[in-house]
Amino acid sequence: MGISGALRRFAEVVLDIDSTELSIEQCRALEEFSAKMKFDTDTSDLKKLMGVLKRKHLVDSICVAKLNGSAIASTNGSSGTECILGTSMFKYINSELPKSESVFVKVDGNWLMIMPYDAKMYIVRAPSNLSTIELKAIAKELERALKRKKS
Amino acid sequence: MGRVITLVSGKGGVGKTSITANLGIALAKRGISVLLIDADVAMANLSLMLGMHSNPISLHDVLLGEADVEDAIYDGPAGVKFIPSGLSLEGYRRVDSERLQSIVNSLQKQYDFIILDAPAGIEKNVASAIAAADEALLVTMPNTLSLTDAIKIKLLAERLDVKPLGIVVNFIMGEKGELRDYEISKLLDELPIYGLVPYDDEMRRSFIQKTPHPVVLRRPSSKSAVAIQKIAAKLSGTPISIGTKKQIPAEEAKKQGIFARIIGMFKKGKG
Repeated sequence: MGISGALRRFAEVVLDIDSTELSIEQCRALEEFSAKMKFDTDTSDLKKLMGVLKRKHLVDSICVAKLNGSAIASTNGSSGTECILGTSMFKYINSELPKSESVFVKVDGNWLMIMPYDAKMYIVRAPSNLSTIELKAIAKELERALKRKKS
Repeated sequence: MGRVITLVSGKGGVGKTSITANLGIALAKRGISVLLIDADVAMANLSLMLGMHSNPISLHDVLLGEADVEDAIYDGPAGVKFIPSGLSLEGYRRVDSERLQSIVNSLQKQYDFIILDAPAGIEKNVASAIAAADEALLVTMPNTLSLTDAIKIKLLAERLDVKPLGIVVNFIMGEKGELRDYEISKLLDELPIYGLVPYDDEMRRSFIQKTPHPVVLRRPSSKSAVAIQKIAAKLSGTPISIGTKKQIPAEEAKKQGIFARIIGMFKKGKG
């Protein structure tokens, strides 16, 4: 810092000059970021909702099955196989480890997460593991949509 | 059933814990039953801010299933009740923060307000603290760095099916480079502003005492205490009745020219 810089700094302190500025570029970037993070889950279209939830929770697929393995809803085409795989895997683990709340399996760098909730099985695949809290939140949102669909 | 609100920020150092402590006390001073929970299981310091040091049973013990939750509730200042978090790192490693939700649910009928102080960041313990509540109050500073994290934490709350209630902007200096409240609200998807807390040395000083006393107790008519009491009034729907001393908002004070400030100094001297 030169003499003029030091004098300017001294003057700023003494005269309480506000030398701050708002970065317009940063604000614009934040605006864009914020706009991308909007997810409209207020829809009665189950398929549309599942697509939104997939993006909202950054997961690859979501399948909902009955406890016998039959598919209720899915974001991908192979829902039948996925639902049977998920429910049978959970049932097996639960028979060996009673009171299991969820099953998390790391497969080839990705995660397969299985969790029963309100008499249904939720099977989620994602690049990173979600907390059971977040899995429950997905289940709750879908549960509401399924109830809306029924009524 | 009482309201359960988590104070979250994403970014650390925005004054979330001090707002929690003061807001809880401000509500309690209005005759409202309040339970504060230090949900920061890794870096607990709400107890220190409340001036409470000896808490043999903590949230760690309750989360581990080694103590009853009622035994972890302590009497805090101004009638506020308080569950501290443990300070030990070993306890932190062992606890399952996901159990917090059931603990909060078991207490919800007993209090008008349960306020949780969430940790900074976006990890599992933060998610647990958010998911344990029905509403999340976002605390941010009026700058883009802090707001970036606030946007992320709002998204996390939405992911966890928890309603973002509003925003508390803390440490307002009234400088040109700061984001204005309407800009902050716009960037957070028009979330309402619940409070504007100016930077106040009294807030900082209140924690550097032999026994710390939150600013709403130590200097109730200071700028920051008044702002926090307004938040309490808004949350509880009760009228505002704060000290008699006239407060000049930080932004207004900044707008004053140098001569006005010098004259002001003389006036202060006379008073």
